[in-house]
Amino acid sequence: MEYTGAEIVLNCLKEQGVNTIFGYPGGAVIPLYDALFNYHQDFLHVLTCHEQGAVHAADGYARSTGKAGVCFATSGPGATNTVTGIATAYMDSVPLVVFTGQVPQSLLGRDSFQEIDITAVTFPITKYNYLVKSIEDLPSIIREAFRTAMSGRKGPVLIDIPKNIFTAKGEYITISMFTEGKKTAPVDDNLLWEAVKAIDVSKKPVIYAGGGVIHAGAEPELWELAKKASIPVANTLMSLGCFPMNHPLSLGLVGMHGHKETNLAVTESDLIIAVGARFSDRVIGTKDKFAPGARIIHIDIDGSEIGKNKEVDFPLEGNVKDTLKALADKVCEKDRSRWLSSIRSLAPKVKQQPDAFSPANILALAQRIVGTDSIIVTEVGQHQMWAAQYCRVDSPRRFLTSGGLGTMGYGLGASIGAQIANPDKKVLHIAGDGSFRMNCNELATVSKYRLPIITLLFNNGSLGMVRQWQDLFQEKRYSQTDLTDDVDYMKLASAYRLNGAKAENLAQLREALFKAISSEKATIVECMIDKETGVYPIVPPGMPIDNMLTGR
Amino acid sequence: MEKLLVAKVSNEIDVLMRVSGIIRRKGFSMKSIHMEQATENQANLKIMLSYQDKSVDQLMNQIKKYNDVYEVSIV
Repeated sequence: MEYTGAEIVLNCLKEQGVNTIFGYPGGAVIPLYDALFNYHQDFLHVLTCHEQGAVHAADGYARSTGKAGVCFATSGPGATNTVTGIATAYMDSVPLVVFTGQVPQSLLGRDSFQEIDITAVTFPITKYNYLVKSIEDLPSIIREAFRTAMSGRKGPVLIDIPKNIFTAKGEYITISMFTEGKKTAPVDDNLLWEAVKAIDVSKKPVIYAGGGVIHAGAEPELWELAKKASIPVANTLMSLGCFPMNHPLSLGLVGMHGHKETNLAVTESDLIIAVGARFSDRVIGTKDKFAPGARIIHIDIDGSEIGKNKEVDFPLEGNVKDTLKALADKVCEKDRSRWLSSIRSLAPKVKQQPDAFSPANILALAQRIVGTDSIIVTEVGQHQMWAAQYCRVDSPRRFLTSGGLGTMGYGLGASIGAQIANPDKKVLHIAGDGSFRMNCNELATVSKYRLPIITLLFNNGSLGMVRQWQDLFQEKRYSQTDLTDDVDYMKLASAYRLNGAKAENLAQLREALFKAISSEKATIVECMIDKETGVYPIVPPGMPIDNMLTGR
Repeated sequence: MEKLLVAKVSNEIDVLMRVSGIIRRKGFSMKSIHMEQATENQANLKIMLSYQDKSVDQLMNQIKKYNDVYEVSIV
């Protein structure tokens, strides 16, 4: 049957199982939005305040569900506003399909109004991108885009569609289901057996789990391997939730702000099993001193990651889920209680003051009240690292954070996407005042869609993480990191018709959170904290990860 | 060191931008570049790479990932 290009886009989305779109209209996408008017029963279109918010929301939707997030934006500024969101998704391997409108083909290359060459702009931050040149190509491009976004190592794909293609007519035949991407070849059996032998003879192994475990849905296989061979699991920021944190084998966060015993365990280990992780500088500190006495097994679906940042002894390129399963089947059952207890003995004895209005106590209380099965979404900075250190995340897709790009302003948009995708779950948005200011315009979206997101705003009146670096490494020269108290966040909340509460101690916080939960309305809970409160441990940049500063 | 990269690619300018972009980002230099249409949809791409202290395998692994690169090797 004949359809317009705009209708073909929407039909293809239906065919891919898409029912939620985040976007913002504009001149070049007027025909697309016109068609959407007729398809309003098929899609929930979430109108954000800014295209960056729309992409972050699509990202939060994708991370919390495992499905591809879909986003619409117009040409020119609409398209460039998506860039930070796309780059955020690219760095963390999040599947997105972003549709941008483009000026009509007759006006391309003439510096026309709102014309930008967005495919050229996004070459380095997309897994793939397309400028659609003819309506005949449109259905196959959209199908390939979803396949590309969702297969192998996931990532964002952008499709740029000139306005005249939205209005042109073309043939479209429904295809019933999503076609699978190309299958990854299984890991070579000999290599696998070598890795199995290395695990069996290892006395001090550590699993270094990355976001790839969650992308692959390989948590059960990771569990099987860790349990069977008694191997402790260290998490990167991206993998929090892939292994239950209340289990004795869980070591939690590793790296620049990793737990002391976790960093020391990795450093002392004789075998690192890296799973869907990429040896980022924030994890390894310095390449040569990361696990210096260990042999390294690296399991990754993306061959270009193997050996990129660190040489490995056993490169296992392939599907993380299948490879973990094969390893779990083949390794010997082992008791490694001596290794485990020696790790435990490295843990510092922390004397938490039970009444202190400290990040640890604030987060513990918030989780107790909001529930540990809530979806935690963070911004970027000190509060993000506190959340990674102190929140208990027991299941995957419950901790959404911008790890690779470190995008301040990610959290509110991502919370919107996560709440839209999970209406029955609580979303706890953890923010610092610096990050919150970046995209707090999206509070209007929170209000419009009546999303009961609870924002836990750590207000220390400063850009805390940079300030901490200035404190530790720049001789306390606090250049441009003081925000002062020039914003009344409670008035800001009420301007958006949302609730607000300010807390200066745990009792006030408890009351504010209970009120927020029972109101079922979005609430900003502002926690006033001291700007001298730092994130510890911290490994100075470029130092080995056993070289930790544990406090001032 | 100099090495010749030979690839079968899609017959579009986009692939040239992707490949030259990643070569630039990984810090390699180019001595020469040549792309020629082979069939209606395919082109042959030849790039003479120049580099020091780098792994050309890493670069190859990146280039292999693009949808519009069908084959790539170092001669």
